[in-house]
Amino acid sequence: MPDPDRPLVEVRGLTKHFPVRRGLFGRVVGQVHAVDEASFTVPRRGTVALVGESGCGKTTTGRTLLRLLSATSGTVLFDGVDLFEEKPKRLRALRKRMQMIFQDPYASLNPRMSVDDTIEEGLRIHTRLSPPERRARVDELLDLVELGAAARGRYPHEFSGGQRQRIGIARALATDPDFLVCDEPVSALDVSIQAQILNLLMDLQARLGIALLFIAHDLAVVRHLADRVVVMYLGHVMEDTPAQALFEEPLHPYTQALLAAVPEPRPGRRHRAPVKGEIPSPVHPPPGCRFHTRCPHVMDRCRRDPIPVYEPRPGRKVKCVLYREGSPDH
Amino acid sequence: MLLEARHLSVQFGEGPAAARAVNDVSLSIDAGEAVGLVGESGCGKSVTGLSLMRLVESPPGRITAGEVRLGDRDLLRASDRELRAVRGQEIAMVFQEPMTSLNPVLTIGDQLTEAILLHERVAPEEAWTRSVAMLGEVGIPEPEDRMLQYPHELSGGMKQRAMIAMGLLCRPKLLIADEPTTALDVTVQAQILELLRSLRERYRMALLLITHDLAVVAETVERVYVMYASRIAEHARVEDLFGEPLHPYTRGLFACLPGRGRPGERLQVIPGRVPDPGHHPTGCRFHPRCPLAQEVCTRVDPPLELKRPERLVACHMVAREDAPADAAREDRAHA
Amino acid sequence: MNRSVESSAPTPPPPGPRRGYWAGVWRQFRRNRAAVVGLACVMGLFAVAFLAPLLANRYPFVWTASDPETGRTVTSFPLVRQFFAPPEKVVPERVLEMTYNYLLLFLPCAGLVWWASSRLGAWRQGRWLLAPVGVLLLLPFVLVQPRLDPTPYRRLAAQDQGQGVFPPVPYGPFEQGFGNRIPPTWWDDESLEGARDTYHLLGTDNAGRDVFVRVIHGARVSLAVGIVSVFIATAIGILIGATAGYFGGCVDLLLSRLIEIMICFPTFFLILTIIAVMEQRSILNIMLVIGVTAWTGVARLVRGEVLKQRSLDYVTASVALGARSSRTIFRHVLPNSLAPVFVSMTFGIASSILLESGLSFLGFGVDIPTASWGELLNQAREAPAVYWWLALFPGLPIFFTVTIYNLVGEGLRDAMDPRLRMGPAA
Repeated sequence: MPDPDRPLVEVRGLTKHFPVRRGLFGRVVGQVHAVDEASFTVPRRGTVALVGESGCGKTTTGRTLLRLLSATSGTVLFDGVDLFEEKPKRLRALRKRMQMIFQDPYASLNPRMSVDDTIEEGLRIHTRLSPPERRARVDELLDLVELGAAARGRYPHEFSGGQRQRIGIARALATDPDFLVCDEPVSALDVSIQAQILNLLMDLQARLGIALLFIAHDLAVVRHLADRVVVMYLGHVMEDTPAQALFEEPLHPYTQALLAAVPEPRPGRRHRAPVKGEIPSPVHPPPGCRFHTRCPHVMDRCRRDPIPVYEPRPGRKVKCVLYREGSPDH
Repeated sequence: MLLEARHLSVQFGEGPAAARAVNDVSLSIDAGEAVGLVGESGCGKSVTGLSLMRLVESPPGRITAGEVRLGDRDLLRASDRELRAVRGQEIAMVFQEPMTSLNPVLTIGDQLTEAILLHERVAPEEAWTRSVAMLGEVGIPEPEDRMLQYPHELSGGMKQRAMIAMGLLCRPKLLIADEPTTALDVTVQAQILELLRSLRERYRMALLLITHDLAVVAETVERVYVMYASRIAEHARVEDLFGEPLHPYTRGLFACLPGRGRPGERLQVIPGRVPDPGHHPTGCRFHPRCPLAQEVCTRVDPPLELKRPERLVACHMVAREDAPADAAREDRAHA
Repeated sequence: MNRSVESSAPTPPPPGPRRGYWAGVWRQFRRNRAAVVGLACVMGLFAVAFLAPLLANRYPFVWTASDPETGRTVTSFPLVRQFFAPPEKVVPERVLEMTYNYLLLFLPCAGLVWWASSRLGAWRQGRWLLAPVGVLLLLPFVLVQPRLDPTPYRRLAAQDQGQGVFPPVPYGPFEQGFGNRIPPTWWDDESLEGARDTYHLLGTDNAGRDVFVRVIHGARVSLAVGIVSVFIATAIGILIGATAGYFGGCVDLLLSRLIEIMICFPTFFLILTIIAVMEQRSILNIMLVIGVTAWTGVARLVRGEVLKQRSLDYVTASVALGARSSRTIFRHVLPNSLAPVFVSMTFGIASSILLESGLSFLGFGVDIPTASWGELLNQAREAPAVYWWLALFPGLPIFFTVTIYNLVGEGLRDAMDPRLRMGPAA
């Protein structure tokens, strides 16, 4: 039974490794540690942002969460139901409640399918509506994303990037989902179009009451949109905090480095020393804390032991020993 | 005045379907100065950068008008030999995708030494030593080892540093950087921008930074040209531009930045979208999307005029003023 | 919906005709003059092949003669009868001729029905007509007896015993007796004494058959072999390539190795070997053999495309929507993976025609008396300089056909290349 107070999506210990194969018969020689022990929740009607740089595992998390990739271990509860245990048939039925919108507006639409066929596909798979009913719903959706019925019968290549994203959103909303994973939906768009799409997403969320998992690397966008932010680095969740708190007072050294590195549209030179070093390879991640190779506060135990998650303030989770019980920052 | 481009026009294709990617663009860069060229995709900024060194692929592109003066030479009319001497030596260029800008079948060392040997008569050993030194200067650890590696063995940030190193080997007077950090992570971007800043200081090098990222431009350059639909819409010093943008497009652009709105509120938008390069509206290119558009805007393309001291704006609706309101501007610059 | 002025009001899609993918390809194709000429020539070739029995036949369209017994004038249509019951003895060849003749009747009717029904608007109902029309047209082929009419119409006409309207070239492809190895009539040859009775534009072959007629009928064979074998090869190739590409893993491993093993065989020798052990050398066997050995290129092409498409987001979106694998493959992956296949098919037809000609030239192709360009070349083998018309006149169509198919294939490839159609990136 759905419990209204219970978060819609609970991710516990999600781990995804990709095997590295070599040789004629594809022997496995290593693992890409894309995601390791990620845990967070998404409340109903809320927006959780998943941020990080390339290789942090945010896109993999999003896809594994929807079981578009098979997880190596961990659990994902969707409205109390364990997604990874579901049989294919029930899983397919569940899919209509959780959808995804993608980053690349040029690769996310089938170039050979007209716009209405694309949007209609969810309806064809999950409902038994008659063709006129489906058509009506497609018209409704096209209006919802502000494209209008003039878009019917046209093909993706006739539209701009921003318009294609709208089509993708309409497709995702066709089955009336409760949960939407947005995988960097505005990263490939110009600033002026980005604003339009963000407004659209916010409107839709307010109107339809959808929960959003917003994957992004642009912190300004995240700040505008998210209730809660989950910061990932090299497959680990480093910080999990309410959005405002994150920007006012970032706790984890990586979050601090990230925020310090973001340029502001304000003239004047910033004399900040950017964080040193590069992101290590996910095939051979550093032991202990993944960030220790670049952290200005690194200590011995950061290099050795796995780091537990601390909660120095209520609702603020940090994976850093600086915040262990008894430390001055706690 | 180190480099001056005047009335540059570039078109792609021929006949009635030709697309004017760059239309009557003029810009200037002083020695040691950092200038930004900002615009959204499709505005023609990359083509402008390429045409400064006559790198536009022709066909289908063609520089139809204008001149690019470097010192007393016009680069657009120079001979191939003269141009080759300029490229790499006096002007260097860095591109967006480090993955495709470096030759994947040559080692880093080969590519760097080639850049030197093309322009200077030095012994290969000297070219090698200088390359190693330059790699160190751009912040690549263990440069001698890197010289023997292939591009695919380097990370994105490293590749971009290597590209910058390649560009700087002959101590050019001007570096044109076309979206140098767009493909990089934000922490790496900060490192690269810091690197560019320190290199500019050290070598008194001018920089033309082409990007769509207003924040990057704000932190890096001294003067900014804003391009829209193949023309310059506005030109000002960076403090003036960010403090008080005049052109409606610039204002709209700033207004719709996510950082400007309050969290959770709707963002301001510029309605409509950027016109295709082949189908610019008549009159002012921006008029279909402009909140201030009047009848004259649909007919007459506004010229780029000096509306304030040291500020050029191409808009009928922006009035000419002679005395800037200093105090008010200072306040707005810190808003 | 109430939207405030400042809200996002996106520009609607450009007005104008809705342009699907193939319409865009056609527009781009049209700009390539060589390709368009090639396409026109291909259509011309198809016309010649389909109209062959109407262009060159020993029987007249219509024949009037007076019956010696009753004295009344009798009108008959010998060619029409032969049209529905072609004289070939071997089954596959006869089926081939009947198929061509049937299509010659059916396609214009289908075109008419299509056009009429789209004009009248009630197009769904109109298209159902095609099935009964198709069946109706089939009847004459079934009912007419396959018996040759032995009447020597030409001789009777020459003797003024009856008149007829003959096709432009009044000889049959298997009709012998015009004198062996005679050069074209317009070629002045002192070795021949006296005028000849019959006019042969391209001369005769070593069995005394008119070469021009055999070249025209040879077009049927070449075209059929080209198209059918390519279809077979493409079908096999798509099956194997798509399976390998979509399922990956062990399946891909095994199938890729299979493809590679197949590539290792030298195709031509493989075909020769297979044909050598076959008992009957009919057209069908030739088509099968060529088809079964030529699929590897298509398989690799399709596998590559499928691999590429499979990783794109729209396929992921389909899975996320809850589509089953079959739906994802057939509705999303395959339609987008097949673009290069069309180009490969066009080139495949050209090379298949060349292959069949080569086989027939060596004597491993079609069996006597079937007319094929390669088979005519084979007859010239003894002394090509002496029997030059047997080498030149079949050789030219081969060259011409292969060239035009290659032109069309290149035009198609360029038209489908998205990079050539995109404007400048600013």
